[in-house]
Amino acid sequence: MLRCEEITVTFGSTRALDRVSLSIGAGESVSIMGASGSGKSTLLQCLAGLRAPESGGVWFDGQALHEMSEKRRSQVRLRDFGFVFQFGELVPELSLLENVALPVWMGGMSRSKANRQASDALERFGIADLAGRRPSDVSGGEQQRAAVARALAHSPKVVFADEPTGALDSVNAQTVLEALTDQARAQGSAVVMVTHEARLASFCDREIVVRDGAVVGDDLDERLAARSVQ
Amino acid sequence: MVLMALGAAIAAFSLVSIAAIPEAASRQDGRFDAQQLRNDEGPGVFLATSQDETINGRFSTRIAVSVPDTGVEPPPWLDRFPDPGEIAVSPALIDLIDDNDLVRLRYPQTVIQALDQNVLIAPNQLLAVVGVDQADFAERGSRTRAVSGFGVESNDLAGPDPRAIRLMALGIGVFVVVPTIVLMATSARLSARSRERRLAALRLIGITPTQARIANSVEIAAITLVGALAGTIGWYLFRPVSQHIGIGPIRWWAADLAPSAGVVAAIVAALAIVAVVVARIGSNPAIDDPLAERHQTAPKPPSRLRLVPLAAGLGCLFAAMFVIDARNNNTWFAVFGAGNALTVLGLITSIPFAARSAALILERFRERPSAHLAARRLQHEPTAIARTVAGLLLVVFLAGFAQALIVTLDWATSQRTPDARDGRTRISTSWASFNEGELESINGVESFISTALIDLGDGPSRIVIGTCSDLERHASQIVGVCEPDTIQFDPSTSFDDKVVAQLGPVGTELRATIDLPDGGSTITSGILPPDLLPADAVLEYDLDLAPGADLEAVGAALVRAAPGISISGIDSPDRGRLISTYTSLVTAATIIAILLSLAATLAAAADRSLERRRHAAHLTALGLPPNTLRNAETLTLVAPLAIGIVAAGLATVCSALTYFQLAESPIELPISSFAIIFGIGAVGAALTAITAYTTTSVTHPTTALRTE
Repeated sequence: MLRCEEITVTFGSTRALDRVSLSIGAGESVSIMGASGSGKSTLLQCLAGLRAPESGGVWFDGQALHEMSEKRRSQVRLRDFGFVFQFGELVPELSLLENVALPVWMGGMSRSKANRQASDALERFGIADLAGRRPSDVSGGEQQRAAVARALAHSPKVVFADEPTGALDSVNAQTVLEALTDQARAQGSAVVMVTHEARLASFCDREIVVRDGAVVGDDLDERLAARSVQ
Repeated sequence: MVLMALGAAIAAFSLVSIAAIPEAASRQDGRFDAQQLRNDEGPGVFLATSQDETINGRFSTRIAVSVPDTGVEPPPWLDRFPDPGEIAVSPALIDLIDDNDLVRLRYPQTVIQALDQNVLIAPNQLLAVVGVDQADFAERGSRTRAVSGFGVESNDLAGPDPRAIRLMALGIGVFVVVPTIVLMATSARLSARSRERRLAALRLIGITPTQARIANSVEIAAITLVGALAGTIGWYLFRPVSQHIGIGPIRWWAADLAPSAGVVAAIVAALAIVAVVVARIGSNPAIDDPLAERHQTAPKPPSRLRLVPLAAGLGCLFAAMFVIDARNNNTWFAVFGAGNALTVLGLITSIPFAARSAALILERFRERPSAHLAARRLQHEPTAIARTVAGLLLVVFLAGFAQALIVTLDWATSQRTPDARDGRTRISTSWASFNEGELESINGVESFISTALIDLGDGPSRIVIGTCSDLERHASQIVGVCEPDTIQFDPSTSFDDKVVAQLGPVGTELRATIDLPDGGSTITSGILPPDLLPADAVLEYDLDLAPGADLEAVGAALVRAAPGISISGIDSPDRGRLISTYTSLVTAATIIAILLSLAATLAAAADRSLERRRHAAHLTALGLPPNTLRNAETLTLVAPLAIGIVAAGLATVCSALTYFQLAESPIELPISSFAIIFGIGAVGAALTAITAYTTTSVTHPTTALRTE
């Protein structure tokens, strides 16, 4: 569904990504791990169509993301991708319901339908009673759950999460990640998550390790083998 | 930081300009004094007369001198005294002589010197020192006197037009200082959100409130000082250019604009202090409660007390219009002034309520994402747009006030001396070469009557010089009987018997009313036969012009009769000179206020968009179309701005109509004034919208994600 081939990204004299190739299937959850400066966030940006690689390419459902215009990539992000940022980044002046409904509404659904869909999403994450509150009126964990609900409300094919629990305590982090991965699995959405914590990476089906701009570890084969044994 | 420094630079430029005016005016006064004839104790050394006149609607001074003794020392600004047929003249008058036939007739002499900054009040002053033959000075003419030289020390202000630089200080002071304060307050709050988050973060890691305040103050002060110094340097670089630009008919010598170093330093320091004070007031909540700042606690709703100044201001204007008599000047002015000040303050403090009103309107279009986002922003933070919108509301109000001034000036000067197109004009002369008999031979002059101001012992009285038939021809009313060859006086005239006895036989009492060129009339104190005219009397001639007379030709003929003749009404009416100066002043002040306020508004609009760029970048990463975000930010500013502009426009119209109470006749605000007032607001709103639109969402969405 989503793949990149021989992508390279350079910042000045530093090669952030060095001929990386990767493939992610539908419904698959993938964690991208690595130390700070390893290139994991740059890899996520390329896969999400937020950054065009200098060489190589990224394909989503057979379409070349790297050859699309920014407007076209924006449409793909709105319709087929979801995003969870480290600090939630909910719109402060909108209620949680309105925040979750926003990408659904902007994707072409009517506002009332979008609100209904958003309300269902909040229900699934256990914060339906907070629908009318603004982000400043809820806790950090509740904000992040709302952010996850926003990322999944429009049933995207891929959810990109950049350190989604980086600002949370361990209890809230576990709650949010469970919600994210469980719900994504239920919807059939793939998850691509950047993290530096091995404990959190275990929530995903597959773990990719990035070091110095290159993929140095990918346990896909081992996990497939373990499943086949089971 | 750049915007903040730029705001400080503009503020410094404006305030240094204002500060330079008093010194410039003082230097102008000094040169004005240097032009005055001096009459010390003892016999004079040469004959001179100084005469003010109007040339092409401009104030002009003509000094005629007759200096037969070559040993007389000229003033420092004159190379030598001009001989008869010679002239020392200002460059501006030289230009007029070259361009205008009538002026050339006035000044047919040979130019021996172009006067310069050593004596001229301003570069555009019209000044001529004319050499004349002593015989040409009339025997009579109190203005011709023996003088000992030039230069006096007096408290007089330099001439009507050069004096305008003082008018500039009054007008521009109000129109510049207030918007400058708004600009500085806005500049000090630029990047406020980022700065307050930073301060809150410092507090959370252990910095004390005092240390945080010091850090904040030092940062603000440093940026403001850099900007203020840059603005001051820019002013000094612009100063020589300003001499060639001026403001309408107002000109000045660049070197006159010389504020003292202490004043300039005080301005720079004051700007830094204002910026620090404003910034600290805004940042104190973040310093005192950093947790609330970090958690972005929802702002409190605006207090209804914010509406009090506007209500009080409008109440004062209402009282000034309908309750207090405008003739009760002190009370009326106090109430009117307070009304305007409170209204301006109230328009600014009421902005949050305009924001809420705009949100209600935008909610009606909530199916449109940009309108929905804008409505939510205004509901969430109605006070956040205040610093963006305040400047523009202020300038709309000032524009209305300026329009009221201009309309009132136009009305006032229209009540004064009309021009000779009304069929009358007045000339005065004390030149011996003037032949009264030539007047009637001038084509276009139907008749004339001469009058004189004669001191009868109790101050000058206006006396008709002529025969009974002259009086009957020109007087609109005569009470009493006119006896030939006899002095006759108004019964109410007080006079010294000895003076009258010197003049000649006195007859019965007589009172005559003669219509004057200014539309008024004068009641003469009597009639005096020409051969009894005292030697020192100065004659004025009221000329009746034929319908359709060629005024240019009449003026030329009069000037040929005596180049130094003073003509009232033919070459330009008074109102042209006055309205031109005052209108230029008010227009310039309004433009400066507009530019300052617009600078504050646009800077705040751009800063607001930049402060929200992180949010915009995240929403762009989610896939929201950039145009939706741009439209949302534009609507967030423009919707409440439109409401505010309408409110400010209506308030200023109320103020203008109240101001018209001062006039004795009803004045109406023309449609053009309405168009100007609201047009300025509309243009400002459009520029604000463009700024908000173009500066929103300029950040690439990849910056939304955590950087490594």
